[in-house]
Amino acid sequence: MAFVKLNNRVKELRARFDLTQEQLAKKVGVTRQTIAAIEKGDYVPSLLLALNICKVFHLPMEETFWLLEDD
Amino acid sequence: MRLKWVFFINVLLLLLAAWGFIPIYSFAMHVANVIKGESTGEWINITPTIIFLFICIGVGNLMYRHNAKKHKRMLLKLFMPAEFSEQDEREKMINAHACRKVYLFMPLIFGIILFLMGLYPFLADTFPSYPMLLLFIFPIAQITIYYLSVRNKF
Repeated sequence: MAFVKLNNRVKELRARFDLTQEQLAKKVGVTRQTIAAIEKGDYVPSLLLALNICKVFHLPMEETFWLLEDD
Repeated sequence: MRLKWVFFINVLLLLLAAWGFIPIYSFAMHVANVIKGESTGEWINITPTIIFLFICIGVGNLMYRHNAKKHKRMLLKLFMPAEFSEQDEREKMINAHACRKVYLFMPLIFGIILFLMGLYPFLADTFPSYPMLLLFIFPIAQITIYYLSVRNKF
């Protein structure tokens, strides 16, 4: 059985766009803790939230979030 | 920290409710005995019930005022537990997981209560309000499982 993990570049992109967790959270309408959990990989965001995050960074989904398969 | 306080207040209220309702249960038993002609009237102490009712009115009033600001007096939401004021999808997911856990533990809690109920015939004379106390194990256990599931996650 293959285990799939969702990886992301949110922390890196946030630093590039000079945004704090709080600022990004406000832009996408979630709490700061949720952004922290996404960055750590503890929480898999909904499609809507992931798309909103991508919109903030002006990037397509696959450049922000991607699947990591581990057999 | 806030959640911890909500948990302790909920447990305290339930313990107060148990303390406040035991006299009512005893009163009902006395009334039943008087009707059956097995005993004459007896004085009972309803101070715990009155204290409990006053605290309930106070807490209910606080919840109403707190929620009325947020939900513009929507009747159903006015008494919404503080734990369910989720701010985003992750908090909703945490709550959903916690509620699932509480649901999964229900048969176990029910089994324990049934077992403890089996001891009632031995305690009926010394502690007639025993079933009333057992009744309160259910919500206290549910609140505790919920709290243990969500703590440090919000």
